[in-house]
Amino acid sequence: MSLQPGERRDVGLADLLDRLIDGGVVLTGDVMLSVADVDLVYIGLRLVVAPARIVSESIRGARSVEGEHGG
Amino acid sequence: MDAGTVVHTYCAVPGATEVGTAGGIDGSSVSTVAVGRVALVIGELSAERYGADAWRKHATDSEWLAEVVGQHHAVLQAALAETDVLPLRLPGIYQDVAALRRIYAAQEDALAQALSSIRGQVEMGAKVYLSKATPAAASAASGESGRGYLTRRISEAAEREESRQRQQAMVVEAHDTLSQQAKRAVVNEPQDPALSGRREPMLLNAAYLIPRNSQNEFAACSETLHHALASEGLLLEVTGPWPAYNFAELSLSKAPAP
Repeated sequence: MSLQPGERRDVGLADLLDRLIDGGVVLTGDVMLSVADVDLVYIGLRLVVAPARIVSESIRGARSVEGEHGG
Repeated sequence: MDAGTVVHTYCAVPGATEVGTAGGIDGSSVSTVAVGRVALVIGELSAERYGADAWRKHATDSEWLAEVVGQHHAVLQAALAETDVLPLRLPGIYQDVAALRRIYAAQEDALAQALSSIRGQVEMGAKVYLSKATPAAASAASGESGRGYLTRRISEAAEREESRQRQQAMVVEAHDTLSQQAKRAVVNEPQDPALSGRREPMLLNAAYLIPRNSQNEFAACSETLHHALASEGLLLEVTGPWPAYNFAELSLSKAPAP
């Protein structure tokens, strides 16, 4: 069992995004970016993992074509 | 400060704390700005590369974001080795230190309160995966009677249901046990396989705020749970210590004390 977040880089990034997307204190009276801009960034942060999603969905698709008894 | 730079905020730490000299985003240096009882960990970055326009331009550029997020987090992680860390939400960019001071000074009390709520605490993460699926339904063995096959199917289905319930109970129990070690706990949505990078379904995705000096107890407790869960086909994965991303809250709605 791992107690080091840096040990597995891929999972580390996913975990980090999971935390950063909703985590952290936000002050009002901000800043140089509008709320809409910030929202766009959070969509972008979710997109960081999108390539993996597309790959895994295509794998799942291929497996379900192979046969219904596999699952 | 020259016009070609913006100020990026990383986190807040207790006032008069010196954070390490580890490099920040884009190899920039990291410094602190005192705002009353709190110190802000900041870096001056190229406005062209990290200003508002750059964030807009790269808002959905996963490669750019992943790099910035990684470098941002590295600063927090380094600071966490030395002191209490209150994460500030990305993207936090300001025109200059004067603008930063103006905004933060106005909310210093709330900030100090948020920081004190995580004083001496770090965040640990725990995820439980279903590592061994319950046995799949068997097909009819050759020579087996229809009745025999049906009876077997029914008893197998009952076994699967029992096993599923046992697993569910163990996950709840594991979370309770870890929560007892913690000052606060949150349960987040399980990550889907694309995010977790594992094909197995995630049953628990939780974070615990624990005293910095009880990390060994938490680790020992996790180790025990890890073995108990493994015997039921469940995998416990613990990460940390993290800055308290899941516990950084600013209560601005509260009226100021009279």
